[in-house]
This record gives sequence, C-alpha cells and structure tokens, in this order.
Amino acid sequence: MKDSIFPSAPIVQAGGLAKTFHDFWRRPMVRAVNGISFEVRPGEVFGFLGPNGSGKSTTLRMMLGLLKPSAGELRVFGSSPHNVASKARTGYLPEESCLYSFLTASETLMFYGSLFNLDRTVLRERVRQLLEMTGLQYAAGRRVGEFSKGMLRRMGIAQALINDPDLIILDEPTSGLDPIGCRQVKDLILTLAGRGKTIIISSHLLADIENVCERVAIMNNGNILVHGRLTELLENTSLCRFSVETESAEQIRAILDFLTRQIGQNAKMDHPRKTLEQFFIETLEQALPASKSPSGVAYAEKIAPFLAGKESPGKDAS
Amino acid sequence: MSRLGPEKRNIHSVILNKVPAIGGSASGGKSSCLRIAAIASLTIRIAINSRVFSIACASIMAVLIGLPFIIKGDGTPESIFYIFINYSLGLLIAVLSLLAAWCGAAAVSLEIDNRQMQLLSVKPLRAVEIWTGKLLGLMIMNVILLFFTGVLLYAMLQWSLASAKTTGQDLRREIMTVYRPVLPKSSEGAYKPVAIDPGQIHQWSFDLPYAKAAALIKYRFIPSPFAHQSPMPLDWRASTEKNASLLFSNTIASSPHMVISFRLAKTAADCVLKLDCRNMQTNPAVTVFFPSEHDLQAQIPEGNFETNLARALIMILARLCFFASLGMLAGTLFSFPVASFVSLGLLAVSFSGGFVRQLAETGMWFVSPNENLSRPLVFLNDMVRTLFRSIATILPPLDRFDPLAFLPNGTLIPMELVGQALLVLCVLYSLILVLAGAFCLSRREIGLPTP
Repeated sequence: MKDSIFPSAPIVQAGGLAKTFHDFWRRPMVRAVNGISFEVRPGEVFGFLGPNGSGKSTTLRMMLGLLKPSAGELRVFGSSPHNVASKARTGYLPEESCLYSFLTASETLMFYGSLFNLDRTVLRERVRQLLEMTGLQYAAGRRVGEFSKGMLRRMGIAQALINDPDLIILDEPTSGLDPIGCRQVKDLILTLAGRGKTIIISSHLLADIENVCERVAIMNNGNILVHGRLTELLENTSLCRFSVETESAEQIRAILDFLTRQIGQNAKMDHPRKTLEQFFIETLEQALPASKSPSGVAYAEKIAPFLAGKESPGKDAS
Repeated sequence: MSRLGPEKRNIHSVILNKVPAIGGSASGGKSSCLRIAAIASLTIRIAINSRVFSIACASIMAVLIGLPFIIKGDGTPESIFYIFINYSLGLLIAVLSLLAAWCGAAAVSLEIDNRQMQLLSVKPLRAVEIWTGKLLGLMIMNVILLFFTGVLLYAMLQWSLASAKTTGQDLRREIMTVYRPVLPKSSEGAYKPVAIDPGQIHQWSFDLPYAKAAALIKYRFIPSPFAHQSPMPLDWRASTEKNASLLFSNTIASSPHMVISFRLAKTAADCVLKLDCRNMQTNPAVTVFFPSEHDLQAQIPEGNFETNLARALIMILARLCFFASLGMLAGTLFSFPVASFVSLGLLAVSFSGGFVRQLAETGMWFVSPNENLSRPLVFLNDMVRTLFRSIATILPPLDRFDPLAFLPNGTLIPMELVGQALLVLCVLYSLILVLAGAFCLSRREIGLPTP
C-alpha cells in the first residue's frame, strides 16, 4: 500500500480477491466480494467498514480459510490461509456465537487452549486471566448455553485470545456488548495493538472503527470504495479549530473579534462536548460497586497480564 | 488511540520472521495425538449431553430385558439361549449400527450446520485430526455401549437359564460351551451331496485333531419325496479308525430340516472318526439327502460362551467402526437431514451385500440367464450387472464378519476371523473413509452463510 509506513512484509495480502456464491447446480447466485485488493501490515489495526451484506465477513472468512476465493490471491503470514502454522498464530472472533453450549466457560477455554498444545499450567493461568479480563470469573463454572448475548461475546473474545495470537480477526467485536463492555474491548484492542499485534476488525458501528483503527477500508456491494489512513480520510484541511481553556465571556469575545479581523470572516465559537459513551461510562463507574452483576458478569477488570506482555508463559508444551 | 512507538516497531520486525511456535510443533506426533484426544473427549461429551448415550443405554436395556418377555419360547434352555442370542443380540446389532451411522453423520454435519466447525477449522488442526478425533470419540462411546451390552446380555442369559424350570446342570453347561466345527473328509476334494436310499448305509470320516471332551455330531437333511415331513428313523454308528469299538450307536427318529445333535464318547487324540448312517425308513420309502457339507459336521468343544461372546463383541465393534466412518463421510458431504438419510441408505446397502453380489452375478432379478432378450434389455441387464459388480467390489464383506453366524449355534468364532474383521473394517475401510472424509472436509467451505 502506498500509504503504509511499515517497512516489513504484509501479514495479509489480497490481490483481485473475489468470491461468488453458487447454488446447488453451481449457478452463480451472489458475487459477495468483487476483486478487492488490500494489505494489512504487522502491528496495524485495520478496519473493514460497510453496511450489512457489503462483503466484510466474507472477506474475513476467506482470510481464515473458511471460504475459498473464487478469484484472486490471498496470503496470510506469507502463505495460504489454510496453512496450519499460520492458523496457530491467528485468533478469530466470529460474528455469532459458535461455542458448545454444554461446556462451562472455563471448560470452553481449556478446550480451545488444548488445541494449541499449551502447557496445562500455562493454560490454566491463561484461562483464569482471560475470565478475569472479560469479567466472567464469577460465571466460570456456568454452562455457556446459559449465557446472555453479551457474555457469549466476551467468551468469544476470550477464546480468540487464548493463544496470544499475532493476528486477531474480530467480526463485529462489540455487537451485543453494553457500553462498558464496548469500551473494554476497544481498550483491549489498543493494548494488543500496542504490543505489536495485528488486528483486523469488521464492523458497521462507525464509533468502534473510529476509536481504534489506524487504517480502514469502506466496502459496499463487494467493492472497496475507499481505503487509507483514518486520520487522512477524516481530516478537513479547509477548517481549523482552536482550543482555549477559559470561562470569561469578555476574553472569548475579544478572541473572536481578533480572529474575525484577521481572517476577514466571522469566527464561530462552541463548547466541546463529551461523547455519550464517555458520559455513560463515567456515570456508571461512579454508581456501580466493584462487584459482579446479577448475570455473573463483573465490570472494569484489567487486561489479562499475558496479553499485556507483563507475563510471558511458554506458549508451547513441547 | 494508540500510535506506533519504538517498542512496537521492534516487535513488528520479528513477527513475520519468528518460528511458528505452535504451528511448528503441530507436525509432532505427540502434539497431534493430544489434539486428537481433545476432539475425541469433546465428541464423547457431545454424545452424552445430547442424550444419545442415555437413549442408546435405554434401548439396550429395553431390548435385552423386554424382548425375552415379548418373544415366548418353549421355556427350554435352548430356546432361551436362542432368543437372547439370535433375536435380542440381532436386534441390538441393528440398533447399534443405526446409531453408529446416525451419530457419525451428526458428529460432523451438525457441527458444520451450527457453525462450531468454523471455530475448530481456524485452530491449528488438520482436517484429518478433526476427523480422527471425532471417529475415536464415537468408537470409545461404542466400546462403552458394547461392554454394557455384553455384561447385561450375559447377566440376563445366566439369570434366565438359572430360572428355567427344566434346566439341568449338564444341559446348561452344554449350551454355554463353544464348539469348533469339523467338516467331513472328502477324498475327491470338493464335497459331493450325499443321498442315502432306504435300507442303505453311508459312511463319513472326520479328522478329529483332539478331543478334550465329548464331541457333538450335528446334522440336518432333506427327505425325498419332499412331502414326507414326519420323523424318520436313522441308525447312527460312530467308531474310530484305530479302535473299532463303537463310540455311539443309536437309532434316532429325526425330523427333516431341523438341526439334531448327539454326543459322542470321548475319543483319543488325533483320531479319524468313522460315522455310519443307515436309513431305516423303508415304509414308506424315503431317501435322505445331505446336499451340503455343512449339513453334517462334528463339533469339538473348544471354549466357553464368554470367550465367544467377547469375540463377537469385538467383531460388532469392527462393524460399528465402519458404520460410524460411513456416517461421518455422509455428514462431511451433506447437511444433517440429508446426511442422516444418506448414511442410513449406505447402511442398508452395506447390509445387503449378498443381494448386491447376486445381482452382480445374474443381472436383473426378473431375467433368467437362458432367456432370449431384446437388445435394449440385454444392454440394461449388462448395465445393472456392471453397476452392482462395482458396488460389490467396494462393499466390505460384512456377512463374513457376522457374529450371528456363529453365536446362536454355539460355533467358535476363530480368532483369525476377529483379527480379519478388525483389519478389514477398522483399519482398511475406516482408514480409506477417514482419508476420504478428511479430504472432503478440507475441501468443503465451512464458512458458507446460513441459508
């Protein structure tokens, strides 16, 4: 990508990627992805943004080897998405819960962790940390089938991170989460990005993408309409905003007069506002005790130490 | 919003170059076994939680406890044994086979339909590991079910024999003894059908390798004229080649078509047994006909029923392994409802191996070999024969590994046959199906949107 500032080879590289779904008789029905090209570099937080049915999830599933491209080329970690070695370094949160309803929260994480050949002690510690991080430590012994949608989402995130992956693919990560949960997920993404993890997010929630992504691709009808660095895409260079910390009406009037004289047109003044999300979280943080909710979900738990790089248990048992 | 810092840049430079810690070890046999074990243990839990396991246990109990009450025999130990082994165990084999095929189909297709396979597929697992793990889980479940079947069948059989009014210790012991069949010697190679006219005598000879206990002679015959169905007097005399003293001499009124047995006195080791049969039915004159070599055989006591039952259960396990693999292959190719039908259809085809082989030989069943057919019918007949010949080629010889061909008549199941069943059904056929299933699973698009 010409706007990439990263010198190393891309983690995900797609060229002319297309996907057509066929019916039973192999007749083409829907062209979900229409010859798109993009790259995701190491350490990037890359967002796919678009309305429902725009091809975001299909693109992610092709990256994971769950769907086969009809045309074009797709490489993950420099090899085919079906490569077992690249799968070992990938974490995936699907759009909908695909967990086994009869397993408890801790059994679920133990099962998925065991597929990565993690040492049992390391695995148990990671499970504990992930359950704490997702606020599910009080529901560790409960069956996943009894979980609410938000709790399932948290479980999905936890299972996606059990192997401390280098590439994390999150399909609608904040769907079904309450604002605090959304904030925690975003904080988690930023923490992981800070550790050099590559994160690909698909969402139609603009705030999610805006808060965490460095680069985005806006998709519609299987095409990428726009892609690039978010700061560059959103910047309006014809407008300037000045911030001044004062409550004096006289000072404000004097500044406005000065600006109007300098630029030859009326300058505007308004007060900065918090976002509703910020306001909501602040209000709840003041009101909520630091205990679990009736559903068994706890709030405001820290990032799992092994994900924050503060603890480095051996990944491999062998 | 995080921005790139020096620490982050350093990490980037190593991400692509670092050795894949987990993927690299994935090739190791031990780690592969651990992943297969994880999938197998999950499959068992799915079976238990979906109540398949409890339904299977309930079915086994219902058949073993309920069927002997429904099917009334004459109360003799032979009939009790026959009901338990032929009907109850026969029905259980059918139920367990259906269950194995259905569970196999469900184990894969339901996971794909419910999208749980998506999460498994993005983990560092090879398709063959997923498939093997699932098959292993199903087989462990089948082992437990068969063990339960064996224990319950044996307990019920012992209890029923003990409570049978006419049971004597000797008779019970005889029923619970397993025999090895010895066919009559034939000097000309192939066995020739034997016909004994009224007043005539025929001699058979048997090579008896040893005789730890008294041997049995079992026979059945066809009368000629066929309409004669009343018991006929046959005079049997048995002696050894070295010692002409009679081991047995008696006239038995025998009914045609029925299996009759009589006990010989204990013989010396490695002897040639001479068996004479005189047809005493002169008025009306009836010829006695032994068309097959299996119609007359000496049976040497060689083991107990418990050993034979264990061997039979191992043979059933080998068959279940094949059916489970067959179901799993159907589950890999189709969605759950279709896979269920297909697996049950394949099960039916596998069971009807004899019919398929017959059609492969003769062509269409309504066409006799000597009939002059029109050209289209000849072409059609050839097509049918070719089709069924190819099906017969790939079908496993299930009828060869049928434990019900041995257990009800107290014939010992040779250990070689058990080994062959394991080798052919568990290793050869299941391995082919595992590889085919894993290939199909790796080719299948797991992430297709739900309709």
